Amino acid sequence: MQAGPEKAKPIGLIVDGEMRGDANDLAALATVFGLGYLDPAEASILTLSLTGSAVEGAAFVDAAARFYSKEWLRDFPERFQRYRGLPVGLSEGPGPASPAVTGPLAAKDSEGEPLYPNEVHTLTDTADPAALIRNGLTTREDQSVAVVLTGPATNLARVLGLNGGRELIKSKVTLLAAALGDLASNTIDPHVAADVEAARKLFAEWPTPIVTIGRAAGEALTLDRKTLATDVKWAERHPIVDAHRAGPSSSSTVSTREAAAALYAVRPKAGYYQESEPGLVSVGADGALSFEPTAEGRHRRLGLASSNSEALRQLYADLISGQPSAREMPEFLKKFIEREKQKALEEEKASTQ
Amino acid sequence: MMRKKLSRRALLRGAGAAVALPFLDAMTPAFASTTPDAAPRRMGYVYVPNGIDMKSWNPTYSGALDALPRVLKPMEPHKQEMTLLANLTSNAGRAWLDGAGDHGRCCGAYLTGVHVRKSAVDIQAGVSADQIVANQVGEHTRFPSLELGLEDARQAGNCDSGYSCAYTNNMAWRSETSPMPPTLNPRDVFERLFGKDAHLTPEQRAQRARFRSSILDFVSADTRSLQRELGPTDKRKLDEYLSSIRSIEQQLEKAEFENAEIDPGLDKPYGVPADFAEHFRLMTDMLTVALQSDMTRVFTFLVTREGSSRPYREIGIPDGHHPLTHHRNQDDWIEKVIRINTYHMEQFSAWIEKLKSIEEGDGSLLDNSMIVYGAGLSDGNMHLHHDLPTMIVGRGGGTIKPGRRIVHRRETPLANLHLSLMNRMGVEIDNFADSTGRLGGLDLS
Repeated sequence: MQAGPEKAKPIGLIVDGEMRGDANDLAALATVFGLGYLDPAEASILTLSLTGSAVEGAAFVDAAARFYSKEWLRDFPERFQRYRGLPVGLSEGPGPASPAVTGPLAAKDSEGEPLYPNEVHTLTDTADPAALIRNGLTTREDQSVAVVLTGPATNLARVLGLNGGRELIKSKVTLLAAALGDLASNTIDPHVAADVEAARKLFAEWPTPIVTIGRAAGEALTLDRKTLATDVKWAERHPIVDAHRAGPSSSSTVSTREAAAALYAVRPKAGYYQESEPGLVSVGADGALSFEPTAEGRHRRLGLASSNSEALRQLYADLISGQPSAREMPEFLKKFIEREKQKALEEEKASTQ
Repeated sequence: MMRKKLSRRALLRGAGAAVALPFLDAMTPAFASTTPDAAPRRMGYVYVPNGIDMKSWNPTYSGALDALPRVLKPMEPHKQEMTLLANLTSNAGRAWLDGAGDHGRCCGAYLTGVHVRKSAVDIQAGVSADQIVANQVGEHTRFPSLELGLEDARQAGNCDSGYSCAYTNNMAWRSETSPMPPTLNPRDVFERLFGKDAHLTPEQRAQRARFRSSILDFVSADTRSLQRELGPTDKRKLDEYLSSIRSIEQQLEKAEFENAEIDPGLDKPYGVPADFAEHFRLMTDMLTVALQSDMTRVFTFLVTREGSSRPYREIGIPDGHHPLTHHRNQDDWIEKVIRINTYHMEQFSAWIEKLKSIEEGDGSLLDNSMIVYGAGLSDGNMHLHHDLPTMIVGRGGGTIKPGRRIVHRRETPLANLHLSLMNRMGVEIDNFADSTGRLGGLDLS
């Protein structure tokens, strides 16, 4: 008898970015959770970390992660719904807190308890991102992790600088999808400008293929703000929806640049985006990027495959607004709960005799 | 009159015996400043198994130490000598892809920082932090390091879900494949430190012990000669030191006498006190002498082996320690775990009291030491490897400002602590295992 095909394991996701509360950040975060929870067999979120965000930004990400995890475990008895994720990473020197994240964090339920509980109150409740990302990588098999970068390269550059960090990345990671650098225009990407040295180090030393997604690719496919504001039907209150409502509304549309990094990392072969020829990206002292085509290059630029726009827009909407699947209870837990019930019944019986 | 300087390596000798000396003022040049730095720094690790009840360990505050939680209460008199460290993580102790076996992994990883190979036979860990220091400073002392323990345990076979007993029963590793088993029998330690009859059988040793004099009798002529050269402070220090050696001898004789009465059916090694607290005290008394006399500057002390199921009948707990830690949140089981944790801490605290009382330079032996008390798991019920219960006792020769709780960021590698202590011991390295840097805040008030 032939063995059946081996069940594909979910790709592990290391997600590093920003949480300033703008719609792009929120759409990217919702896309990450959509990829991780709508079909957990496809992707598994290993770590979430931030650069240049306030402690409140990390608290919000922690709250959102717990919110999705709880929904995923909704069929489990409450005492088995404990969040098992690693802490949120946050680079030091955090930025200002946005009302988009402080609003949901302050929300209370009908009993006066936090509506979105979380365990981040001070910087020490967050993790050093470099250690966190390294530790997340160690949990996975070789060539089973994709890295998503939606902000400055600060944290990933620090992982590269750890003792054995580059070798670990090389063995575990298949791809880095980075919303970093604006090769299509002459402007300097704020993600690069925020830490030019880190971007230089990243493109020079990162040992796996890198795809870069510029601002043009994100602007070429925008989402209606209602995708974030009203499309979520499965929960009465939702942290990302609440954050969007509480945040700034300077534009009627949302760029998919950061979300694209997450989607491509999980489904690189889906054909949603077009890859450029291989080459090498270098970063100038001022933060300007240049791309030199070369057959041996590990870097590619990503552009929108124009024929896919509508289907892709719908896909993003589905990921952002979709309900996590319900995790099936493992057999051992079912048996354990059954044993407990039996024991309780016997004790009750004994006490009445 | 210029006082003659006594060599740091001087010994009291006589009739085949040699007794090292404690640190005396006469060992520093006359009229020189006797700062604590004049004495050597010592580094050691005291390890307790199966995690600790963290609700009874972690205070709710950071900064200056105030009220201590229940497990730490015995350390109340030493609050100003201890530094509590929060959020240290041993990532190498986690499962990664290796499944069950957290006890084997956590102990193997504790001082090596290595995710040990899952095997009962083909073991592989890494050189432990203490041994890196021992390799560097060991040439200055008779013993590069001492490895002590209290629980008899085998070195081979499967001790935890496919992990070798070498991982659960050792802390120190000389190489990737060579653990350094702790010495469990106080008599063996004594003979290693002071005697030459370790090759004898237990029966021969017992016979000799019954008839022989104190080791101090053999060196009495040398002692008298030295005493004439010393000032009053040094004379007192020397008297106290020699008295502590005599006291250890008497404890050993007592333990051997008591064990002679024990039914041989009890699997108790000869010379090991039946009482846990007594065993702990005897071992730490000898460790104190070894540190005081600069016979070693580095030690590890595996209180009981990782995953230990030792019962604690002496405090009314007949249940095994390890099974109790899998309490499933039952209050009566948790209570017993807390009592065991506290009992360990009481023994440790009594030892610290002793180290504190031994004058050395302008301070104490404890001032010149850095003794880490900790475990390779935090919550033994859940087998968690983050926020490990960890404290440093001592001032590291003026390099650590204690009396505080320092909360580090989550996932801060335990290896950062090892690296910081190794640096203080003179090992000039920038990385160790999975360290991300030195542990911040140790020397800040």
